[in-house]
Amino acid sequence: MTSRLSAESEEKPEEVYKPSRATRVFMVWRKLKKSKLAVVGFGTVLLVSVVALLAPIIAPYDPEWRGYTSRPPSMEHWLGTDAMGRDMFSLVIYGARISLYVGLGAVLIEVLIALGIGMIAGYFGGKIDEVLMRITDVVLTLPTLMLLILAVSMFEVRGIHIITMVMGLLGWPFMARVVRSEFLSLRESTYVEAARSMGATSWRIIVRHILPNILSTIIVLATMDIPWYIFYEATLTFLGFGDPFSFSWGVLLKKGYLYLQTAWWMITFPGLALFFTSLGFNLFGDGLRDALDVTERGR
Amino acid sequence: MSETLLEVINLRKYFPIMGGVLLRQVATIHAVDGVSFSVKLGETFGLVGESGCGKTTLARVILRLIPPTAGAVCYRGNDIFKLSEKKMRKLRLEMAMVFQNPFGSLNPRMTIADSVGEPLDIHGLAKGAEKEKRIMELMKKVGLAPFHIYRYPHEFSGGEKQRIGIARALAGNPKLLVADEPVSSLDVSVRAQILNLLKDLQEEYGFTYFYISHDLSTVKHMCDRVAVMYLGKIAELGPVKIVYKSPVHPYTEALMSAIPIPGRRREERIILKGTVPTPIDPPPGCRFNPRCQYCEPICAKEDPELIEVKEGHFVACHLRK
Amino acid sequence: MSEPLLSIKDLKTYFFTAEGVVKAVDGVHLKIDVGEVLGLVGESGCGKSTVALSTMRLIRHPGKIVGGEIRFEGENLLDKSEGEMRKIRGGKISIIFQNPMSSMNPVFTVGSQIAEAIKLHQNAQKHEIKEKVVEILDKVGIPSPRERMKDYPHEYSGGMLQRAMTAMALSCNAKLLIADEPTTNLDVTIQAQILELMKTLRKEFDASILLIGHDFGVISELCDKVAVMYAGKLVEHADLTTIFKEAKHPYTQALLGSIPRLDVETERLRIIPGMVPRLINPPPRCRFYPRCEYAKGICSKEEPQLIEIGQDHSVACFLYGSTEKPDHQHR
Repeated sequence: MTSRLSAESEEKPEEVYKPSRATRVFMVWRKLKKSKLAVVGFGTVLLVSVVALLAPIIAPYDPEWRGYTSRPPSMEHWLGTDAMGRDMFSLVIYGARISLYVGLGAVLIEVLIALGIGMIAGYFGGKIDEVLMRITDVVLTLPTLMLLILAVSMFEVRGIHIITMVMGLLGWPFMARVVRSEFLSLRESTYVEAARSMGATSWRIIVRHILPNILSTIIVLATMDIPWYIFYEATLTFLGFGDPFSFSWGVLLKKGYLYLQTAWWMITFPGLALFFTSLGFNLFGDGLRDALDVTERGR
Repeated sequence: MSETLLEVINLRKYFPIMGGVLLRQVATIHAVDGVSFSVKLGETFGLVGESGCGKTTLARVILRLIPPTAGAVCYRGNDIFKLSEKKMRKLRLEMAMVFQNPFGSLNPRMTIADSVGEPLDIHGLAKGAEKEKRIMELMKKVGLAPFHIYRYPHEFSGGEKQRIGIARALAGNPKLLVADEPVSSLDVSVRAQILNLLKDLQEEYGFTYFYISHDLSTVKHMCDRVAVMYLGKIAELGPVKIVYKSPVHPYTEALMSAIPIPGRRREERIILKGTVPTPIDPPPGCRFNPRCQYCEPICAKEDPELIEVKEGHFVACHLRK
Repeated sequence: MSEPLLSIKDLKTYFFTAEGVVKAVDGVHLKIDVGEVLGLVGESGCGKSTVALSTMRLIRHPGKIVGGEIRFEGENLLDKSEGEMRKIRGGKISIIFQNPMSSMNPVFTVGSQIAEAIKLHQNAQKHEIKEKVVEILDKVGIPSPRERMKDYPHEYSGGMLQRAMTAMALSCNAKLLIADEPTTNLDVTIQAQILELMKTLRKEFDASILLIGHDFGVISELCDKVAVMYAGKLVEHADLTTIFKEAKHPYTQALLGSIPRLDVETERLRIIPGMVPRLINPPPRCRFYPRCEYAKGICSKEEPQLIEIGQDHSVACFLYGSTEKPDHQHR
């Protein structure tokens, strides 16, 4: 009796078990399924994404359409109408689009910058690390609101895009720190040493060895940052720094706030949408962390 | 009649310790403190020592994974520290390393095929189908079925992972294999498999092995010659049988008598007093002086040189010349 | 023949995991007499540490001792309450582990931790305790004990810590010291120190020792008798010389043949083909069957029982006490 892996015969052709990419994704999905909460989270994320994507098809009314103002939920307007007569349901649906755009956009900017800076600081260390970390510290101290106002007044771009960019440009330090510390520790791994002993260049080590190992951490962080930015935009809007011409959920919340006592539906439904989306993303991110981790820990 | 493959000349590696408010250098770790020896083509050269003796650092300096503080390492007559980055990278194909921790030495996110084939990738030796073929050959050479090369490290046992590490080391057709404690983290019954494999491969390919371990029995089994390190210096160097049977240096003596022999209880053992001191700013004189039972006044003043006491047998001790 | 200090009969400790029941210890018999040193040998995963923890009743969920009895000084430990066990642990039965650094709390000084042990098991006044700690540290050869007792664990070297741990374990008049791989992580010369220390202390305190390990050399230095475990079962039990000269179980023989020896010249080491079996729902047969070169028909159908084949020598193998001839065609 020999181990299942001992080489015995000279059978040709050589058989190799090569799982395709699809199989690997499937295995992650299987692990994800184990947690009911994660599946709920994933379902929510999927729902919101589909809604955002298919907004023009799903929404019963065009968001600019004006009808009777401040009507409570009814058969024609499932979620009522707002102070200007727009259909709440359609507003919330289109709002999903905007909010998701904001969240994804900010996260994209954040991840790109954080990866770049964190990678270089963490891998090369020394003076480069010092300089980059000082830059990071400076960015952390920049006041968001002032920059927002500055940017809005300087650029001829729609407010919602400015907000997205500013949030991303000011939010990367946290992730950069994580990336950097991961690089610092993984740089000392034995397999990195092995790669160097084979003559691998720094670039190869960074991209082929370290990056894939931190990817799961980054993905999870990014996934959990999306709702954070959506919330942040809502907060900024609420404080009066938003883009009044868009209809992100934040804007809807701000506008609906005035009618809290008279027309509760104007703030409640966007609020619920925001809440459940955030929850969904967070649950999904949590589940994702466990699902991606299992590959490392094995049986 | 064998030529010298690797020659280490007066190698030193010091690490600075920073301290104080202004982060100045307050002390130095003398990890490797003037080590010289040569490794002949085709032999298995062992390096033994306890923790803190500097053997791991020495291995890494020899492979130029960390820069030396002083001294030279000559591979086939050329000082590797004087080579350009490009030339050194090519040289790395000939000097491969097998690591102690089989799990840590394989990237958990890379398939076995990717790991084993990495030397081929880095140096552009093979691509596509040819690369796959070569990887499968390597797997068979180390006793593993090629069927599983697209699996991940965590799906294999410790012994299998170590075989994979060896397959990877073989990928570039190395001439010198540096093995850093290759079996210490494996189960007892698996060790035998790996040690036999290493011996078989040497017979087939004619490698030169540089075998580092703290396990004296394994070293005796595998090696032709052995160097005993203590606190960054070589205390004794010579053919394995002689060093083990009739050690000359007091440290080697104590080391050999400390090894427990299965089935027998040792009546007379030399128990060293104290613990191994740290290699930080060592005082002048012989490093072993504080614990040596034969020490004399000269031992605290002068550092003994490594002298040939018999043919091929070197000792660094004032009293045993 | 006086009663043994520790007598384990048919001990079964199982772990109830999501993937199934892991039968980590499956019917193990052991005994240790007063003043005797028993070595428990086996590879990782064979269950030897689980035996030690079971004896101390330190098995936690999902593990559970499901059967057998552990008699210490005549009383079954499995019948005792948690409170009674707590008095015994660290007192009459002490345990030291493989990595001393992780057995000690890093935020308390070494002296205070030893003092805590003394306080728990002996009635002594504060100043008496302090003197005892100094005495203990001095006994195990820690230099300047009065100053060193104020140091933290990370300021000690591995060897010194292990010495301190050994002292702590024996300080409360332990009758039985369980040492789980105490020297595995230590250098050879330090290992020699610890073994010498254990020999001295054992004589002085007249304690028995259960030494668990996988290094036959270490076992030889200290032990009077040796028990070999494989995959949760005890396969052979004999005194030291018998194990090395006349090992009867195929696993013991193979294990001894696979280690490089200083005193014996070997070109190739003997290897045991195959892998250690999984302990989840093992089939009812000899656990070593798939890897045994002497296996025969009955080995795959029944589990061999431990039988005495000589003076103090027992084996669990169908080669002994059965009439069937070995089937060499097996593979």
